[in-house]
Amino acid sequence: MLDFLSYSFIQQALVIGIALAISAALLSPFLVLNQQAMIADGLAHVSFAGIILGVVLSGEPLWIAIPFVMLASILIKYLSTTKTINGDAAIGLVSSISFAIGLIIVKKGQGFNISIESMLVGNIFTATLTEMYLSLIIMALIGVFVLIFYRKLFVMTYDLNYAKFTKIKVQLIGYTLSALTAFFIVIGVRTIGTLLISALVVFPSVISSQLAKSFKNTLLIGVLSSILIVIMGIFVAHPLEIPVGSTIVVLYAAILVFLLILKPLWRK
Amino acid sequence: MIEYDHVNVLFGKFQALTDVNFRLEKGSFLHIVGPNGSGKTTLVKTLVGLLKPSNGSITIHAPHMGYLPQKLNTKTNLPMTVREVIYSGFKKQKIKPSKEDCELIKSWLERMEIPHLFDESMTHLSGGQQQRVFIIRAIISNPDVLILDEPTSALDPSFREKFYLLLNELHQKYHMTIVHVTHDLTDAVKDDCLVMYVDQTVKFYGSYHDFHAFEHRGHHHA
Repeated sequence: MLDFLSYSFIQQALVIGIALAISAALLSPFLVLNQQAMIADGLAHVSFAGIILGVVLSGEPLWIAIPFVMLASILIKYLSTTKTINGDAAIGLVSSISFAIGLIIVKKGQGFNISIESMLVGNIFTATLTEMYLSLIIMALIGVFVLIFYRKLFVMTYDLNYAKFTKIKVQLIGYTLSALTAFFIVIGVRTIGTLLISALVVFPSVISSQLAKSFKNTLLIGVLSSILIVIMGIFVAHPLEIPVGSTIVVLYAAILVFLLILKPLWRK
Repeated sequence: MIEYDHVNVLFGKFQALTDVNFRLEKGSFLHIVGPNGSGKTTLVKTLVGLLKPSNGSITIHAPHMGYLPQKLNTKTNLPMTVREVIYSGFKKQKIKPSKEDCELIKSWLERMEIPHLFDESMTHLSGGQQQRVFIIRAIISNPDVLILDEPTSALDPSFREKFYLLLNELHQKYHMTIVHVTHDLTDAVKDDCLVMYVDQTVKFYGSYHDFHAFEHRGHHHA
């Protein structure tokens, strides 16, 4: 039954899936519990434009897309700190403009060998070796970042003013978090898809905060459940020939619904 | 220890604080009072470094400050335990506190009458219990100056009294400098305290005794 595990593209998909699951779940509480869940969705739209721009300008779109989306994330962060535009409006502005530009380039660009559908849905089984290495690199970067700044990120999440008072460098850490999120999103868009990558960031904390009392356990349960769900997603999607990204999101949603129904029962 | 020299704070065209001048010596206990929107919290924010004055200078000689912000600015609906919140009050952010630190936390939890809640989730606590956790966070690292922005707003009256006894103890026994913003002076004050009446500027600064005379001349705090 597990014969398909011997295929190298499945092994590669598992490595990418697990690396992305860990990365997303590590980012999750610091974004979702800080009312920044939509930043992942916004940056996915920006990635769409970034990758298309990359295809037009170079042979390896990621080298254009990664800095492009990182810059956009910094722009969103900057706009949301100005008093005239609030956070979700900043995300809405930057992401819709990028998406619009992306669509125009696709329509007018010459000689595209990239389908919009593959960009929107992604395909983890056709990922390149470079993408696998980049997934591992982003996992390592986010892992080290969260490990070093965990306490500071925690204080920034629950009480930003107190974080500033204790002289935590909230700007620097905040911008780094945004830039790492952007890097993660670009890699994720190619494999999980523009429309679904934000689910990988949003679901872990929403699910784990149903179970955990502490912030630390919210993070850990989020990471463990994400690894399990992504592996399950790949195992289910491959034989059924359905998209992996969609399968993962449906699995996440099923578990969340299950928890939301059960939670009031075990409280009694 | 703290000196304000011609401090002004402007938000756009709105002058929140005008020409604030005062000195606060080490070991003082200062109550800041004033009507709503009078600039009390703005003054506190300049004191704790969250807000830079538009002009003027602020000098503070205190290696370590403790701060209890107004409760409404802190998220309490997150999955986090009392333990995690208290640990975040330590000067150095540490993974595991030392044995002495643990003893200290235990004694404060007992003083605040919440020792059973150490591993409880903040979401399961009442507003008053949450406020006690934030008080411990502010004092756990034994600050030189303790700044409290309306600390009793969420506390029930019976605990409020104990809270002020505790503040007096911190002031007298540990010689902590305390800056306390309040709506209600009556149950807080000892005779040796200082009072500052703020209404966009410092209208009164002096002893509690003299503040009575100031009030009788027709100024009332909210």
